[in-house]
Amino acid sequence: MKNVLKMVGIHFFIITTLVLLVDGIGHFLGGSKTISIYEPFIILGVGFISALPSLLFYFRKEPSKLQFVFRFVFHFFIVEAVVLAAGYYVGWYSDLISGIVMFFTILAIYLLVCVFTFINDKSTANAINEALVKIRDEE
Amino acid sequence: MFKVSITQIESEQEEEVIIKCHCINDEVLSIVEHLKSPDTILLGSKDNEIFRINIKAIYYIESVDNKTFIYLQKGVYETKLKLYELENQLQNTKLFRCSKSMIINLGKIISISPSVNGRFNAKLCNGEMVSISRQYVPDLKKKLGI
Repeated sequence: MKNVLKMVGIHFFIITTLVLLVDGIGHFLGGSKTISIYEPFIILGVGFISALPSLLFYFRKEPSKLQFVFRFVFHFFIVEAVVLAAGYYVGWYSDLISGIVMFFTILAIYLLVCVFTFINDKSTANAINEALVKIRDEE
Repeated sequence: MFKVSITQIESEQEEEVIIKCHCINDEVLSIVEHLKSPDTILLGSKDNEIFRINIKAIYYIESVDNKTFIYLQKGVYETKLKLYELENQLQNTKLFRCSKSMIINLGKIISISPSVNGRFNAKLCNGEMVSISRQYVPDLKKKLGI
């Protein structure tokens, strides 16, 4: 459980940073020079609520590939729903077109989180492989 | 034939084994090897026969339907021990609990790589691929001193 909470924490920071980045770019491109004082807190809240569904990846039993894919897709739609609802509430979008843009923005952030997670896993695997070489040399 | 002497020491002193011999022959080396690798033998059964299995030869140990099987390069042996008992018994060796149903020999892994299903795949010396659960990766890193 400790590892799962750690994963939720990592996802919170990644999502919050990326939402902040996208929000900043949006404001810059939109020509807006001021933001609401509540906006950073809303972004933190969205990051936290979006990271919570990561608990779906806590498996008591080993999941099959199908179960994992199902939870992955389910997780994505929960995150989409949370962020779209929060975004509508705070006025990040107001009509269908901007809502669709928002949907794909969230998708892009989601994919970026997946890429970051994969890069982190790859780095972990490389470190383990280096240590395994030493073990094999001792054999 | 060796003369065996045992001296009991205080708990704060470091335990050690000193071998005094005329020459370092195979017998001495065998004793040294045994001392360096405690619990190096597991018992496994196959075709109603009991075999002594050197843990260095083990690729992985898997629990299937409440039975525990030891996989070597050639042959599969059954053991009466449960996976958690083996995990405890083998904790000072290169064998490592990599998932709820498997203990793997780190010395038999060629490489590991992240998998799309959130786990890590380990490629073994015999070409087999086994999964390492994400939840056991921190323990693996700790065991490897990373």
